[in-house]
Order: sequence, then structure tokens, then C-alpha cells
Amino acid sequence: MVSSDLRSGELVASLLSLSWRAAPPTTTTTPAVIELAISGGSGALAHRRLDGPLAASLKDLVRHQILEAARFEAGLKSRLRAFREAGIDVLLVKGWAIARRYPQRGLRHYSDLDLVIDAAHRATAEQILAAHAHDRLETDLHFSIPHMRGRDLSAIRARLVEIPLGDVVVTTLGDEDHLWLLALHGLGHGLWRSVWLVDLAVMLEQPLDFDYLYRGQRDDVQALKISLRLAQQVLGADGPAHAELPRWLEPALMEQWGRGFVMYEPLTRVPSLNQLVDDARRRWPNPIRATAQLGGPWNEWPRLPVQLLDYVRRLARFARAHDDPRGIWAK
Amino acid sequence: MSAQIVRLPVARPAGDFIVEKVADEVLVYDQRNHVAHCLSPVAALVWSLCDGGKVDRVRAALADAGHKDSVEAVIAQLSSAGLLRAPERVDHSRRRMLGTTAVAAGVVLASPVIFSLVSPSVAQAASAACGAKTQICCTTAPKCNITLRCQSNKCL
Repeated sequence: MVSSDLRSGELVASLLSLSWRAAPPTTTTTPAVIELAISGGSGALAHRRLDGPLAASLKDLVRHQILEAARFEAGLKSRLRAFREAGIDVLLVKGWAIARRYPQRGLRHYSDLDLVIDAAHRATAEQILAAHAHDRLETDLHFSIPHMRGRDLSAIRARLVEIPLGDVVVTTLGDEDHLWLLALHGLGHGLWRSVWLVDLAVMLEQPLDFDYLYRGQRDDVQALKISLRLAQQVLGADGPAHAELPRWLEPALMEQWGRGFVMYEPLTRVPSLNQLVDDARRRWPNPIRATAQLGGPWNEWPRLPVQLLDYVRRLARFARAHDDPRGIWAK
Repeated sequence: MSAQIVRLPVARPAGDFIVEKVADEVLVYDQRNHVAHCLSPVAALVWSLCDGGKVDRVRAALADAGHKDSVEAVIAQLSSAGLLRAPERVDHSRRRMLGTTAVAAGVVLASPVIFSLVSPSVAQAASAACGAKTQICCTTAPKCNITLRCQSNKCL
């Protein structure tokens, strides 16, 4: 029997299929599926595939995202100007750097700026960001490029690209390195946001050097290939297939998309067995996230042990971070 | 009905806003109070002309563009949206910023001429990284990472 979440997820996938293309075909859907697309960050993409009242229902969201894109661009420019004046080199990843690959401004919503700088400049960088707090644009500082374990840093540096943006220049990763980062980042979060898979579809349709793309640790390369195959199979992206999907993977993703965004209360204590069971039910890691967090394997084996291990690891992390773990477990 | 006015009010400085023209609409983000508005062509036209000058030329511009709305009604909405300031000072930059495309387009008046945009859902705004340390992402409900707690709207 097909679960309603699975069916809803499939409808989201159908709605978003080819939605990033210059002229996507028109389709129809239901308001509930549109809500799921919105919760996955893909509302504006859904808008491009709809017409009539359904499209009209997304007009405000599209307007909002266009303004947000303009705000982030202005904020990015002013930050880069300040960093340049301070003599700090900045690498921008995700966000604007992927949004620019979509055919229209505002189509790819993002909610922060991810800036990579040398850790030696941390104090100055934090002062610069504090001076920009008035525009309320979230900015995350990184001191190394995320998810690049096993990649050749000198090759990454050699492939950096510079994109003029008004009076500043944005430095970002080359397409292959960016795709690598986006894929591992998305998988690490279970690809619960549908827009992350659309990002992969968009990047997959760029001219890519696959020989360079697939250089890195074996488990990461396998995860990357799996995610690209998923973008092809679920969203219809063009590109060569370099992996076979395990049978559990696509249904797991559809279930995730069909559930939509769920906001959980943080676990601040472990009060009773019943509540722990309830918490486990609500926070049970999706198999994609659990597999990615544990570094694979992406095979046909049952996912339950992987999910259990991931959940226990998260609980242990919580217990370690809590002020008085002994107190929590005693309750 | 609004009383007839002789002189136009003055728009707030261009630097207060982020403005995007999209098809026949003008989207305005007020950086002072972080509120977004969508202006119809007629509202954008009137706003672009709000420089403290005589109102007659706005009436003429509206008539030329085929709009029948009263200038007073549009100005009342612009004022209510907080897009205008006291009429003592004059700012010409807004007209430059918006240009005169609304007049050229001869577009049909939307009603109301201004409306505030609805923010996207919490989920749309949420990022996977949301919930990380020091991030302000728990204003409506706590959603910090499992290892963190929401304190003063920050994940700590």
C-alpha cells in the first residue's frame, strides 16, 4: 500500500520536475502539494509550472523572494566591500552562488550568506558583520570550505571563479567543487528541502568535468553519484548516470517531501520513557540523512540499524552538550 | 473622500528602500522597518513624483496614463504605508530611481494601489543550518539543534 506521504512527495516531485528550465511545461496540482513545495523552499519554482488561481496563490511569495534576492545582493555587496577594505579574502558558497544559476532572480530562495575566510581574520570579520547587523541578513562565517574532506585544496583554489557584482567581485567555487559541496550538504540533511535536489539538477545540467568531480574519498564520491542519480530520476535532470539507486532511496525521499517541514521542540531533558519514545518517533532520522551522517553504505541493506545508530549518536551528542547530563538521565 | 491638496508630499530618501521593478509592479522593501510593499503602477507613479511640487502635474500624468483615481486617495495610501515624509525637504532621487515606465506602460490600476507583502512561511525561510549556534531562528517556536537551547531568541 502506498502511504499518503509517499504519494504527496511524488506529486511534489512531479510539480518540480524541469521547473528550473528556461520554459518549463505548465501543469496542475493541489494547494496541499503547493504547500509542501513551499515548505521545501521550492514555492517560486512551483509557480513557474502553474497558471490561473494556483499560480496567483504564489504571487506574493514570488514577490517576496525577488525582494529578498535584492536585499541579499545589496547586503553581500556591502559586506564584500568592507572585507576588501580590511584586506580579507572571502569565498562565498551556496546561497547567492547557486541562486545565480537559476534563470530568474528570486527563483532560488536562500536565507543566509555563507562566507569562508581565513581563521586568522576571525575577529575583524566578526566586527565587520556586527556593523552590518542592521540589515538583518544572516551571515555564517566558515574557516574552511565545508564538506571538502579528501578533495585537493590546491585544485579547488585553481578552479575558483570570480563573478563581478556591481563594484565588487564575488569569489566562489568552480562548478564541480560547488556541486560536490551542495550534494554532500543536502544529503547530510536528508535532502528534506526539495530545492536542494533542484540545485543538483541545475548544476548537473552545466558543462562538468566528471573526471575532476569524482575525485575524493570513496564514500563521498559514492554519495555524490547517488545524489545526482536521484536528481535525474526524481526531477528529470539531464546528464550521464553514474550510479544505481538502492530501492529504498527514492521512496524515502518522497516520504520526506510528503511530510513537509516539521518544527520540533528542542529536547531539553529526558523526562520519561514514554516521552523518550515519543521523541524518538518524532525525531527518527530519515534513512537518507542517517546513511549520509554515517558515511554510507548506499546499498540495499535495511536502513533500520543505520537509523538507530544515527539516533543514538544524536542523543549522545545532546547528553554531552547538556549542562548536567547526569541530572537528565536520572529523571 | 479626501480633501483636495495643492502640493505633493515628499517621498522618504531613496536610500531607505530597496526597490525592484517586476513587470508592471514596483516592489519596495523598507529597510527602516523591514516591511515590504507592492505598488501598483499608479502608486509607483505618484510615489516617484512626490517631491513637494504642485499636485497638478501628477493629476495630468495620471490622466495621461488613463487613471481615474484621485491623487489624494493614492497619497493617503502611500502615507499610510510609511513611504512619505514631511513636505519641507525635496528628494529628486526617487524619480530617477523609478523612472517613468509606469506612465509609459499605461497600465490598469490595481486596487488597492499598495499592499504589504506577506512573509513566506517559516519553513520557506528556514535553512538546514538554522538552529546552529548563535543563530536567531527560534523567534516563533524553538527549533535549535538537538545540542542547543533557545535563549533570548538565539540558539545557545
